[in-house]
Amino acid sequence: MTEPLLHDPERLRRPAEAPAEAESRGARMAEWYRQHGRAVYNYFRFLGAGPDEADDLTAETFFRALRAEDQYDSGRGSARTWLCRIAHNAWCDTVRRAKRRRSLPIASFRDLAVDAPSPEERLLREERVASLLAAVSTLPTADQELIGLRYGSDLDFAAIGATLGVSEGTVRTRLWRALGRLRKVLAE
Amino acid sequence: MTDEHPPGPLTSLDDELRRVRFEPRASLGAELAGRARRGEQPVGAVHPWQSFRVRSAMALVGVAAAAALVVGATPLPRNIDLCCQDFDGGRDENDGIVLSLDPDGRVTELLLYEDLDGSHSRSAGDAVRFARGAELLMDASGPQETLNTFVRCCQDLDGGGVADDGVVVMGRFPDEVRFAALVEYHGEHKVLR
Repeated sequence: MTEPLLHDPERLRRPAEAPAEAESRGARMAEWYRQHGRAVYNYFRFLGAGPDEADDLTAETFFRALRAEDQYDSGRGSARTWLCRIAHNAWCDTVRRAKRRRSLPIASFRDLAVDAPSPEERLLREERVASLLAAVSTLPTADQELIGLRYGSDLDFAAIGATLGVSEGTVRTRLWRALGRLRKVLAE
Repeated sequence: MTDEHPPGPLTSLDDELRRVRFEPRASLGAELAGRARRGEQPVGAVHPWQSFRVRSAMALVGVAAAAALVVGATPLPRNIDLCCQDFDGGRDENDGIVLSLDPDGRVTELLLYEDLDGSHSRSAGDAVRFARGAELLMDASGPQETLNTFVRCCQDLDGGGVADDGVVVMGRFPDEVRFAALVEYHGEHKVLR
């Protein structure tokens, strides 16, 4: 169906774009998302975003990446690392707009991947993940960030180091400390 | 993920966290591709003063500011992106600071970043170390007793014509910043903003 131009006066003012360019942009977005979408989405979920907010933040991350793609230099690190940095910045902006460090309620686990044979087992699993993420949300921001990158985005130590601009050894030491603190919170 | 495992007591927690996986809704990828095809832009401003429209607006602001100076009117708000120096005590000259100042020279937004992509200005691939609005804000999310303070002084950061501004940063260096502010020296008095 043809889109009603008159309902969008902005479209009339914009110069016409070659269809091939739009198509290519869509294809690039699809490819970026296919390769890294889950990693980015899981990163936000580990930081405490609910499914809908994680959707929005993932979209924001990829739109920022698409707009800045000419700035990406593969010689400086992997695309995943670059995207995770953009995701981190998008998260910082969200937190800043909220004007405080926050712990989001873990409202829903409809997107939790569970291989559970029964609803009861699924529920138990959801409860356990809820308590894990609730405990993560009580940790210092830097710890949450490390846990999000390691377990959400599935990055190895070198990639986390490249994302945060610290050494691999520093990442390892800090992550084990963060896990130690997390274990303590869970035991309380 | 690599096979690097944590020390013994943390192994089971590490395993448990590795098993937590969320699945984005199946239609999200196709939806994003469609939105990209239609030319949708991100909501947040990664580097607003790089877009043509904002650059044009900034140029107009510059012209208006010049005109205002000529007629002695009030100055306008300004955005400053200064890169690359060592603002956080990490010894590498790869930090940048973005300042938004109101017409009275008050800081309305401050952002410290590390120029990881070597663009020499704030861009999408940089690591944001700290961000705040007008209010002086200390991130109290971690232990406070081990924080270091680093002051870089003095230059004219606010465009006041006098090199009396510094940047004060507190954190665990080189990469964890918990507080950042401009510091202006008036004789023996310091004003944080």
